[in-house]
Amino acid sequence: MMNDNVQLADGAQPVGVHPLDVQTMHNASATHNAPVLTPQPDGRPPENSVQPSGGIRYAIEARGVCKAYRIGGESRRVLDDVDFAAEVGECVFLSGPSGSGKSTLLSILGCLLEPDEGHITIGGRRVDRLSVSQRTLVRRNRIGFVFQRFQLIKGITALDNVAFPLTLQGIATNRARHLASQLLHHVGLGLHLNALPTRMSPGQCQRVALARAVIAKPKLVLADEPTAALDGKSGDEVMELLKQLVSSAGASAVVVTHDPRIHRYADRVCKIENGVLR
Amino acid sequence: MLLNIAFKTLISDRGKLLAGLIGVIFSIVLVNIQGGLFSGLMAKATLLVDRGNADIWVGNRGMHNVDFPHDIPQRWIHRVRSIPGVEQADPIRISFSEMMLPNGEYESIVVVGVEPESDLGRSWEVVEGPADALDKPHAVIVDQCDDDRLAAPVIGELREIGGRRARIAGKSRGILSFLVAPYVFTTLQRASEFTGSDPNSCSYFLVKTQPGIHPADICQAIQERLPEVSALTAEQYADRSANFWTTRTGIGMSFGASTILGLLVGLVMVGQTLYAMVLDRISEFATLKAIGATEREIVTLLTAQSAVVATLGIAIGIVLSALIGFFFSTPRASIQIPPSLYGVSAALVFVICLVASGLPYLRVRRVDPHEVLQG
Repeated sequence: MMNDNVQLADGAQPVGVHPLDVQTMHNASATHNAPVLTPQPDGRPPENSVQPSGGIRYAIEARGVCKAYRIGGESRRVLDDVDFAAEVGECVFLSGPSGSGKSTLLSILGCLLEPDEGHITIGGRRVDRLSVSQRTLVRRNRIGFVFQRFQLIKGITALDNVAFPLTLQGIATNRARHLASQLLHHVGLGLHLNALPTRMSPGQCQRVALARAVIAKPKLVLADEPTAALDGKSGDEVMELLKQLVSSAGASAVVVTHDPRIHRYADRVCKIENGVLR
Repeated sequence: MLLNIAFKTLISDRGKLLAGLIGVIFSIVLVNIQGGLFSGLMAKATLLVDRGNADIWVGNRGMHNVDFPHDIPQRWIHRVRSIPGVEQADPIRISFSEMMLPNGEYESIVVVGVEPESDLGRSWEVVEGPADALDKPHAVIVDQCDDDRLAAPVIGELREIGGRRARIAGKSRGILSFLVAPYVFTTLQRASEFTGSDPNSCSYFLVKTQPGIHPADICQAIQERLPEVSALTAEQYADRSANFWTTRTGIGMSFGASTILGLLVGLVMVGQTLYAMVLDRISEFATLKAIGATEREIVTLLTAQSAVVATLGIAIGIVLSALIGFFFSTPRASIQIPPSLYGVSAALVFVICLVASGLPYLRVRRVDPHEVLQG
């Protein structure tokens, strides 16, 4: 049973109907094949969001996004008229110093936070003025998240952590576990299916988190500092895997990082400073 | 899967699970033991009626407690016996008196006198001494459980009741009065002597109806023929006697209050435990929300955790209550837990646990999924 109360404006297949095709991922190249875009001089995306063929050009698009927080009774603007877009299949990095607003932008792109101004389009559908429950369903059906501290559920196994997003979409637990098992084998954790996150290394935990993010074949993967808690080698392995999984799933990725060592995995790097995209 | 997560996360934190379980077990045991003690106490209040072998108790108009009767003329019994459907009717006397103890002190007692040849009103069973103990001269039967109050009387010992000679001829076990005054069983005639009562009067008529006759119909017939008396079925008089103690002494209020207190303690402990568990896992709830779990699913998860704590705690609590009742119940402090009480307490505590899950939900509701990106 598909649990998708949100109308998909672009007529796309709801996520979860087609289980992740692990065989395809096995055959997929580790390198990303999507065309590398030439960034605009100001870092902004092109104006036209629809391809000449009529298909959706941007997996996600943000225009004129502003966000302010009240700190100590004063309003402080953390995002100032930000325009951002990631094309379908593109892997875009958001880079900048601490407090520059990149995590806030990621939260807004991921429907975790509402912008004060501007609009957000995911897969051609505006999501910035949806209700809380509608945004929840957008996240469930269209977005995969990778967090800095993995954010796995500690009491359940790696297998169940990965299977959980599928069950949220109404897929039977046994089927979800079967698919999760295949994916965990693919990411090299076939021997850790029943391991609890507390018994796994940080690198293994992040691989479980990656698998959880892509198991439901989201069209957009948002990653917040995915290598920050890992050593250099594990960080490289995770980034390789992230690119491979995102590419295999035909998804786009937006990665927040301030680690320049991993910039080579980006199709495009956008720098953000003081709430302004450069 | 949600239920799996609920269960696994619950058992992964055994310390807090134990605290929650203790709360539920405490509530269940308290409610059942309090209820069992109350039930046992009320059983003592109606012991003479419950074990009197009579279908109907006839006493003075407005009779309200089996231990506090008002005399009625014995001659009226013929009118009762003549009512069609009455198989047997015999008088019984229940009156206060005093027994002199070997050290010269006096102990208040309740003398219960029955017709020697009648089985009506014989609520006791002789466990020490001859079965026909009451046929002996001056014979009385006392209860083993009142030994300490009556200065350990032995079979054959002579005592003085109401200034008259009395011989301990036998002992029963577990026939205790709700009052502090012990029951002393004897014949109707001796009871009149021990209590200084008019031998032409008695406390009640005990009536046995013929098979197939409804006691309520006979009660109505008795009252029509004897408007000066009240006639109640044994069940009705037992209820009235129990109700007398419950309402006039405030004992019902007292037991009820402590039971409610137990439930409240359980509620607080379960609520606090679940709340503490949620606080420890607040980032996990933020994660669940971030990856698309709805409020309804979060509520389901918390409710399932409450239900697990409740079910486990109730099961253990019921077993523990039954064991306490079995090992610690005595004739003096009888713990009689009716099966229905187990069901009622389980249902009550289960509902309370579900209510308790509302407390952590209030916290989880405020969790912003955006927090998950803020470390």
